[in-house]
Amino acid sequence: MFINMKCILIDDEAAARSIIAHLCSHVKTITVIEEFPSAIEAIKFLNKNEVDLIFLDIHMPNFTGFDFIETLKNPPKIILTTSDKNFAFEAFGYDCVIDYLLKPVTLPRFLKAIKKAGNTPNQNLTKVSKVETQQDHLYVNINRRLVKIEYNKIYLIEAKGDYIIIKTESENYTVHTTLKKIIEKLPDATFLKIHRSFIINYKKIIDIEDNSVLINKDVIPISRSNRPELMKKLNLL
Amino acid sequence: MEKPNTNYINQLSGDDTSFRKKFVNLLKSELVIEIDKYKKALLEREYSNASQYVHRLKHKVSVLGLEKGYTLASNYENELKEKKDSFSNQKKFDDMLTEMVEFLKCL
Repeated sequence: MFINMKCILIDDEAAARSIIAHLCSHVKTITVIEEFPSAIEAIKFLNKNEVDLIFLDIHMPNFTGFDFIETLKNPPKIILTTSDKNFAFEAFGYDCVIDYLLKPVTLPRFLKAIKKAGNTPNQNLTKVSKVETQQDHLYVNINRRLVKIEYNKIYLIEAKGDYIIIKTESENYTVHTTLKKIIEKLPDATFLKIHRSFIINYKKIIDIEDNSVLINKDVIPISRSNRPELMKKLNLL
Repeated sequence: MEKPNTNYINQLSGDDTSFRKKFVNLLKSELVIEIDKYKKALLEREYSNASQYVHRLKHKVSVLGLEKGYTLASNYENELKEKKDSFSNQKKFDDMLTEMVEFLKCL
């Protein structure tokens, strides 16, 4: 259990924030350091301040709770609060989401969520999920839909600002995340980062020439530092 | 018609009368503001905005223990999202809001 968890509340409804703040007052180890009626204001705050836990409403106008999560590079633990049961599946698509509270939140249910917050070491979540997901696919969040993409269909992943483009032979998917995050989900046996902006499925390489690879119809640069790792992975004659 | 109650508010507040008073006042003021915004959106045929306000009101519906009212609000919210020509749940929902305002006035 944390000695003291610093948390913030994000909800466009003042009554909902008041309920959570009051419930937090029952737990000595939690300090509510700030409340926000919109996720955008919270992002500004988080750029300068660290928190351990966020109580986040999903359904907010203009910028939803899910949009907010997508903007966080290193999200702290998040407990979602909502009046809708329908978002549960999507909610647990995020490693940082540790619980999902239906409004109006009761004290026993709140305490159960807090217990989870104390028992789940945040920094290990990503690593754990990589070990556990010995699967052949992943789900990505595209316009609030979780879309399944099979690993063997992906040949290239390209970074574009705050987004990545996952390229398959049939379709390209634009996802709001980073290469760093997605590579943690991908199997090492197939994928390799060969440049700061590119991850390739090296089983799909057609040829390699000097400092570039031809993969499908894309020519991708190989950075000098990543080239030895790529050469090691190839079955060279 | 289902009647509002203070079961949840009592359970939440416990012995903390100061919090109870503050919370009830907040509920009263926010409810009135949200109802106004909802009605304005409806009048302007901004059904998507109206559905957002119904969603927010839905929480207050359940805070006041209106279980059937919650289902009614959910159905109405969906009707507004679908931007149908007529809303079968509107009348009942509006009546429920009036009931909630009157109930809170007595607290």
